[in-house]
Amino acid sequence: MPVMVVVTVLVAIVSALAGCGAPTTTVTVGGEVVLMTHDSFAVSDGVLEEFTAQTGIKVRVLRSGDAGAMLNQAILAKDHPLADVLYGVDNTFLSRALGAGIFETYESPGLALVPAEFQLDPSHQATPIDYGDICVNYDKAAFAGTVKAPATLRDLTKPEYRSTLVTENPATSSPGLAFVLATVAEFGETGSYTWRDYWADLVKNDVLVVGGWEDAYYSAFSGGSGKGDRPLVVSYATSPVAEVVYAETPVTVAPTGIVAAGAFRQVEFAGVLAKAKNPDGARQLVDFLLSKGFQEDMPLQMFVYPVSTGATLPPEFATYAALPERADAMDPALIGANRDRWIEEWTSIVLP
Amino acid sequence: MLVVVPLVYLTYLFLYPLASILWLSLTETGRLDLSPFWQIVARPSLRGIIWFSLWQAVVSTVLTLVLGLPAAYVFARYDFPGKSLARPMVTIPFVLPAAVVGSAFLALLGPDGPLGVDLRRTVWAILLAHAFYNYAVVVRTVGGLWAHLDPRLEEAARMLGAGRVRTFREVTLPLLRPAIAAAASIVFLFTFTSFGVILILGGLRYATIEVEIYRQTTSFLNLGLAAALAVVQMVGVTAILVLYSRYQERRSVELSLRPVRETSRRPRTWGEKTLVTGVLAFTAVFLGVPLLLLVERSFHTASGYGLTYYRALGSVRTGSLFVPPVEAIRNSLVFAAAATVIAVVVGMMAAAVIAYRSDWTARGLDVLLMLPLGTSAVTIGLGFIVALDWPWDLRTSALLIPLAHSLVAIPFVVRTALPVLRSVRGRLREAAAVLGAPPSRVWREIDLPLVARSVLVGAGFAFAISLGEFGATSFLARPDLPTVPVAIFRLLGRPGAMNLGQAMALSTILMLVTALAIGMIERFRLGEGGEF
Amino acid sequence: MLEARDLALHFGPVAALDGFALTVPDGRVVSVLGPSGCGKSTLLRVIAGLQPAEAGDVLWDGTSLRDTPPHRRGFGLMFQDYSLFPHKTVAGNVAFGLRMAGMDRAEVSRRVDAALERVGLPGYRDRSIGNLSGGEQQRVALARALAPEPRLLMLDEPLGALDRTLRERLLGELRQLFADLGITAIYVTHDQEEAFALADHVVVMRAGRVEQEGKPEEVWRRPAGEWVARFLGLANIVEARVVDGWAVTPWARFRVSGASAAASAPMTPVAVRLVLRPDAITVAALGAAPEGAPGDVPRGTVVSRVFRAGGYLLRVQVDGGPLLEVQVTQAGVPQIGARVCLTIAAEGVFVVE
Repeated sequence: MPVMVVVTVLVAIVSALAGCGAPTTTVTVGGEVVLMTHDSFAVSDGVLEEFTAQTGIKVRVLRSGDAGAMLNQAILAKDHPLADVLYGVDNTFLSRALGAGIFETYESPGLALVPAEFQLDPSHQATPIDYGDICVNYDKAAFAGTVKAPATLRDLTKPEYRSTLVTENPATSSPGLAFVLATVAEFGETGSYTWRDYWADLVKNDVLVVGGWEDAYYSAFSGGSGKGDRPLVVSYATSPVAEVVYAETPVTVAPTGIVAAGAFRQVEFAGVLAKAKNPDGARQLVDFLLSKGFQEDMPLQMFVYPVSTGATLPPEFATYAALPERADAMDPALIGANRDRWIEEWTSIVLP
Repeated sequence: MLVVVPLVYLTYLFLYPLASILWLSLTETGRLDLSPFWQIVARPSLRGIIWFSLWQAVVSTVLTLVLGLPAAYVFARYDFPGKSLARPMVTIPFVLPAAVVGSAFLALLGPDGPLGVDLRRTVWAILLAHAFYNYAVVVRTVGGLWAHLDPRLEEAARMLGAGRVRTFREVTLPLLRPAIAAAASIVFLFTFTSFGVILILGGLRYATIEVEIYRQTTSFLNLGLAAALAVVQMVGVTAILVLYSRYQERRSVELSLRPVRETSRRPRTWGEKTLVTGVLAFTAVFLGVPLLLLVERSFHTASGYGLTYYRALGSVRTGSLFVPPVEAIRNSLVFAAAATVIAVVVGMMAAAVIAYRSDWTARGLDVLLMLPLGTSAVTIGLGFIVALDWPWDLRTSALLIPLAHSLVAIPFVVRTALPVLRSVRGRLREAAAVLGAPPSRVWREIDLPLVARSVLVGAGFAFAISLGEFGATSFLARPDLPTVPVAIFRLLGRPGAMNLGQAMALSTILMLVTALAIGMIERFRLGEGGEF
Repeated sequence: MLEARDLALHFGPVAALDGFALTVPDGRVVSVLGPSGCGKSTLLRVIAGLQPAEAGDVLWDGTSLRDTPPHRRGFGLMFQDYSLFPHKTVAGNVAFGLRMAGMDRAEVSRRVDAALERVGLPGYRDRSIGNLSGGEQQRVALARALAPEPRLLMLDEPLGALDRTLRERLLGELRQLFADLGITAIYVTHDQEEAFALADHVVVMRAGRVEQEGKPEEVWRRPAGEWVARFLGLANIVEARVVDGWAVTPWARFRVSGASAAASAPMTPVAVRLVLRPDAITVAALGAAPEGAPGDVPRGTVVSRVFRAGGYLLRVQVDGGPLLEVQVTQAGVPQIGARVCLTIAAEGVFVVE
């Protein structure tokens, strides 16, 4: 008797689950478009429904871990894609994605409102959707005294900033990689003081390198909601805003600030996957991602900036967010060509 | 033929995807390219990683055994108030995401922590975290068999002049070896392929093969090297498993197992009471302190202790990234239930085959079903993407999640049931057969009640593994059915006191749900005869 | 000499030992006889030190063993299900106690061989436990318990699982062994044959207390109470009035054996319960009855007839009287339904308190 119970339960669960996620083989009225993205994707309730209201197409979201894992999956499945739209490839991975040929060309009309600096793919396979800067965040409370927050990257090698910085491993963390790229852009590969010398100095100044952003921010950083003991962390330019938005008790001033120099600009792209089941719906979705509705929803959901000039920033951003004046944005092709080598060299310098 | 189901299951869901991705990775250039294997041999950094993976796994296993065996003994042989509560609670660490446990350990092992020494990002942090996670494996697996050992054997030894220590060494330990080896093999596999703990607590210096595979895959897209590393990892794992399986067969001894209520009693002498109290106190501290830290953090708001974070979980905040916790909990429970049922059904079939046949089929199956534990989650995940679009496209199905979980859970079910199954006296089964019971009936009336307890322990583990969403599913393209660990990850993905607090609150809820679920599973009675 | 004084132990509401006392002089074998659940095994465990008693004490040569752990008492215990170490060979099992005593290898080996010889299993050294038959296991268990030459050997129903011939044979061997070794032993069993065959002194145990004790023959011939009588299998217990050495019942009159105190009570009739031993009653077909008043020689009908080794056990429904068991060894045993008359010999009749 227990066997029968077990079998029945099993069958029930299996059918429930199979119904949940199985791809639809028949296209119903309006159809369905599948959006594949990474775990950090967030959107307010109702926004995707608005797309359905506008177009009659339902959106199904797939999540794939981090951006690197996601790209891997897309590349491996490119002959039989898992989705219709891929969203979340950033400029450090762009050349890889383009090189693998996973996207289909599509020039969205929404691009008219997007400044040229973000249109890093002239072939229009990848469409820019949002951007953000990676830079050093500092704990305001820690630098309220005699030692002021650092102003440049070079400052971080000075003795007064010894044992203050925590950053992430570029091989396992996207902000970590962005920071390394920023140092490459700033100090160059050749000359009297290269990025390698810089990192050697950082190591001498007792920089702490950890595996991932959560670890760096929450366990090693001392500012804001961090519980660690280091007042400087490599994070996002929007982190201070998030501290305010997600503060427990309302604050008027953000507890952390950003070091304006030495930032790296990260642009995120979306694209229509080649051989997608619903390319038409995919194109409409890409348009939607560039539309005012979605672009204005992004800042407080994913803490990124919209690329579209037609979108206005929410008031929290206006008050608490600051973008560094200059953020390095390297040519994606250059990144693609040298990224592995840079990571390896970095590893050999930083690892004892 | 009982062997068909597990075999087909493992072939389709494991061997086939694995072979697919390995083949794909090693033929990227159009032909089979084995050069990555030479790279592994040639590069000292890679050799170092392999060596580190190996020795830290061995040390972690030994440490966990040393710490866990006394508790296994106390749980097996003594009754104490709160025992039925303590048992599921020991399994709680299993469930928690590495991010959360990592943060607790980092807080505790810092220079301001109770130990006073900065052990963060050292090997010690890794070893302790491993012991913390795998404590339950030793306590429940070894304790499970221990509880059934006939205490009269030990009494016989004592009557013949053996003191407590000698009795343990000469009688108890040899009889427990199957369970100890089973527990050790699982702990070894887990720690050998450890990922999250290494990443968070190991700092830059320490990496296991698994971490390196992840690096090579997601950062460098060097699938060839990743595949080669995955193969090396599996070869190592297989070698250990083959040795282990041979050892188990040779050493298996038929025991007369006694029902649990006969073997456990209240501590009587002062010595016994001290032992029980001491061991329980250690367990409470070792497991409890990190957990309590998380719980404390979930209640410690800016304005003193309160339910702010819990309330926040229930409210919609500016349409944030969060997931309604009820939905996440429900998803987690459904997946866990499905994974457990699958794991128990397939696992018990496999266990029956392995226990009752001693030919190479059985041995092969034994090694095969342990392999997923020792195989890179990254590799399998990608393997699913590559392989599972034939004959049905399961690649983005929600079904894949419990199936993937079950791959990791099945070894547990088998490992906890096998030592007991093997020990069931053949004569009992024969007696039943002679009385007219067909094999399935014999199984149900004789074996099942005897091994029921171990099955339930295994099911509890399976449930915990699924709840804790083991790495296997992190590399899949999943439909948007977030589970509690995913919700926790997402909350920790952004700065902000509310995010951190809610993550802690969800972790606490996860712990509670786990304890309740496992407690309920173990109350369930299989067959007659109550607790056997 | 072992002395158990006033032992008490309860498991919940049930008394396993209730003021139990026992003395075992050196070189003697004491049997503890009782039904299942009377506390026999518990008694052994308490004496062995495996379980503490709530009250009372266990002394050896006058010294209390309260603070002595089991492995230092020097007692041997042969368990009911043998409890042989499954992971050791026969030699490994037998050698265990010797190794614990710290003997050197050669000596251990020698003694193991000697012990196996003695129990009739020479050459079994390297056999594994799982392949032994019940009788072989029993002998190994015995050898294991005997090898260290314990000052007291306790045996817990060791012959329970064996077939009859084997039991008989081993019983004889054990007797011989005990006699040869001059061993001090406590033998616990529910089987009266074993108890009486082996022991110098029998203790009948009931619900944790001593019900009767004495030499085997005494206990057998003169059970101290109705319960003991029934336990020993004496089913013929009848009510009667005894006067002047005669038992008077509505269905018969017969003499009572002289050993009973009540029998000598002179003139006043006393109401008692009597045991009629089945082997003291003879049957004869009606018609061959000796002369005498019908009241003197009860008549009855054979109701059942069971063959037992050595004779028949008849059940006879006495006219106007009880159902009596009669043990018959003569030739020409009556059939079921036959009418018989019964002669009751005086030595087989005695009063039970």
